[in-house]
Amino acid sequence: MIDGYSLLIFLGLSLLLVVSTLVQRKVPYTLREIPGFQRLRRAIGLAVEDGKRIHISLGRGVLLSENFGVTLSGLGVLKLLSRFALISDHPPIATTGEGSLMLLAQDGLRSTYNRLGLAPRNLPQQAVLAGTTPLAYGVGAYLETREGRIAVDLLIGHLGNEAAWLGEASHRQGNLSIAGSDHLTAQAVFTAVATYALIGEEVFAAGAYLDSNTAQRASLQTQDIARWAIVVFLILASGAKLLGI
Amino acid sequence: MRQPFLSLSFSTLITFLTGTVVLLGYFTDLPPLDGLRLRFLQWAVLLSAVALLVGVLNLARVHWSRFGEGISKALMSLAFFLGFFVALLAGGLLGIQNTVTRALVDFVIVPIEASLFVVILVVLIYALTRMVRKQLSAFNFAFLATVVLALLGSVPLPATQIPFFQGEDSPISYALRVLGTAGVRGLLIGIALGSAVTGLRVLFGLDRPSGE
Repeated sequence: MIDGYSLLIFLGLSLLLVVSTLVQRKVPYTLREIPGFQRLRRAIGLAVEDGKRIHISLGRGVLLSENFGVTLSGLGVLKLLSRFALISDHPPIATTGEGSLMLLAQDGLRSTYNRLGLAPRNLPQQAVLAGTTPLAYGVGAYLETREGRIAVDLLIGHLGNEAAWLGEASHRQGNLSIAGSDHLTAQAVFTAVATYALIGEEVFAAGAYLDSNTAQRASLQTQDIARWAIVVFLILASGAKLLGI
Repeated sequence: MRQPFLSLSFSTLITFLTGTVVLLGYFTDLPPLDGLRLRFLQWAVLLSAVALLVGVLNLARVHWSRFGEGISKALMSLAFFLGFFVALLAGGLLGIQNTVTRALVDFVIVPIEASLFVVILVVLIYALTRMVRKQLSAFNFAFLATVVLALLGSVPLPATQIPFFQGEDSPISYALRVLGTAGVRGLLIGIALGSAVTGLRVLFGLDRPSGE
């Protein structure tokens, strides 16, 4: 038996992504302003000048679960930021709540070191498994934020209630915190505790705002087109139901 | 610099092939694809377990190196090693069903986590008051009003209900249910699309969030 609808959605999205990537080369997609990302660019430069670190909290996304999408977005951001920040005396640190995620983060940092022609230094200290349960992770990452001479806390990954710890630690240290998650509770928590909260799909846009990579922009364009298609479908379906069709 | 449309490396090829097999295994139930999908998933589960072990050893290594970084960090690292060895001995030697291990979980870990959870509630209340004091934008006002209305609608009172707020058919409860569900659906659709497209980007080798 074939799950026709799922296969159709998969093929449709794939086609849209490929076409958008090709179109991006001719007509770049214009991004709307997200204040958090604009502030982030400046904050990275200031952090490097001040000899402070950037902390990226990647959360507890499990490799085989549906919440790994946002974790991939966080890993991409770590890799992009490390290009700017690895040259400083205080390279960025990443905290994770999952072993495989820690290895992927270290791999990303290693690749950036190689790309910059530098020898990787102290990778085990730069990407750490802070805890394996939600609260243990929250407290572990809290301690990193408090002790690590941090200027910017980027919380991008699968986080839950424990995100309150991280946001509060960041606030107490006077850090800039930009936070987004796929978890709805975490999004509500971020609205209260973070300097800039990323709502809904904004968390997936981080890569496109930090890098002019065509694939990142194409990905955003694909999401926007698909979202409009869903909106039109929902309106038509609601209308049809109202009319009794 | 113009980037190649598909940057095919060995690891990208492996990602593409395994990802395609697993996805097709989900969409169809053809015996060879389904078997391969399960085999790949088993390997991934095994690798995840090994990665967890590596992560814990990495954490121990980090804490070991912090013994020389001042009293505060050394004390925290000492607490970590004490907990680590007690958990290792209790879980590894006595087994997870042993009375001592269960007592450690019930009387040490669960109360600590419960107290941390309570602290989270306090942190959130404090953060809300800070939000009101610092910047009451239209968005923050809507957020705060929703929190207050939702609390009024859901807090149980002894032998009474707040008119207009509580009860299945009350206007506020109905509005929160309908608007809340609509908002949640909107957010979830955005997140699902973002996750799917991010996954596709990695599958097609358009993006490599880790590695070269």
